[in-house]
Amino acid sequence: MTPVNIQVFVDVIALLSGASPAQAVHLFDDSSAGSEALGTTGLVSSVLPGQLVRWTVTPLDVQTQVWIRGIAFGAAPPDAPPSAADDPPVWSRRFEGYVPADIFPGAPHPYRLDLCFGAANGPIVAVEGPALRLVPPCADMVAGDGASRLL
Amino acid sequence: MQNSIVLLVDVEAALADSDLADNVYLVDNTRALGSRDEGRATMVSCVAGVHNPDGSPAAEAVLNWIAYGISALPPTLPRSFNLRSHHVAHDHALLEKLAATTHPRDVAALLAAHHEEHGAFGAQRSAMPYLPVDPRSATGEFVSPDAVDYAAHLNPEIVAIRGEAVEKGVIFPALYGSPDFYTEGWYWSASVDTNKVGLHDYILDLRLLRPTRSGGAVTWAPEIHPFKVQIEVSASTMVNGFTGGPLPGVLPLAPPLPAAEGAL
Repeated sequence: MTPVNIQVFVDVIALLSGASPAQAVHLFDDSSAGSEALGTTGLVSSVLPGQLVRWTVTPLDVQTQVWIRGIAFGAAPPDAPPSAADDPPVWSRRFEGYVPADIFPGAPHPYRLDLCFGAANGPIVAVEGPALRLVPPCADMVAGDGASRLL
Repeated sequence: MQNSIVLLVDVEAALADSDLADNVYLVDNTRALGSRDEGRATMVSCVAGVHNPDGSPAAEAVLNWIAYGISALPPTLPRSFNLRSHHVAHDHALLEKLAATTHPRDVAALLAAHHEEHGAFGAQRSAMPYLPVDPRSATGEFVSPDAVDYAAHLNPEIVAIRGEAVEKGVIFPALYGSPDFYTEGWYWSASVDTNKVGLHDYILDLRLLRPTRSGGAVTWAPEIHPFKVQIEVSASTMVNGFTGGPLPGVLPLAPPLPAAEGAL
């Protein structure tokens, strides 16, 4: 099973100049089981049980610095402590993990991305809205051009 | 990650001292990563090396250099902006004179005079070697290339990057083309081998132009001044942001609903 890549593109200057995350952050994925709201912070990525999900962040202005500080699932309040401590440094954290196999499919699992930038103790911007939606195994074959693959 | 290293050079003072040491100020964009002595000639740029647990590189590191003269035209202004029709105007004037000419001998004379004053028809050029076409001061005013105080208004130029870090394969510098006016169409950049952890020296060769007046003429002599800079390559190991360890685990989604448990 191939991993799902979720790419987070950030207009860092806009975000630090007062734009809302919805205006300055764009999420895309390559899920073979379908996605909703590509290019927005409301991205819903369809994922399969046991599938590897991998987040990467890219600044739109390539020389600015932006990192994912943490990713929190569920209804964590916006001011909840970030999911990872300051050690290791934010630039050496890779965010990827396997979708649990024992979770009932259907409901979306919203998550919050905490972004931080090239300054020690600088601002942390919480991006609310994206979600993973678990779909049953083989759903990717039905959603895509999977008819031939089923035969 | 891209490091930007900016050199601010007090060109006038450097020419007076014939030395860059006390007349260069360095800043970069990686203070938060551990760069030291920001704003001084002794700045050490921190390059964040990130490796996978097996030692392979987990992120790329790129250095970019740019050198400014402190009194030079602000980089926000294209230096020829106000004179963008300068050469076209000369050429138009020549065409008008040619149109009004009837004798072939006059045509030849007009072309020769124009060529002597402005160079070949249709071309942008400076009569002064090494100097920009439209020399302008920091306030945007036209400065005669014959003026000796024009030296302060010229950006220093990086002409080579060499030294220990290059010889040992820590950095791989090259000169790249750029659409930016204020770098004269070029900029220096390098990739970094972040396995070479530690402090490394390299040398920037900066070219300044020294004007000398002899008799009525001003000669602009290029001078190459070497300047030593340091980078420190740090090392950290890539870890998984969820597990804190080297390997990914199961994503911490919300636990299964109690209703689902009962149903099963």
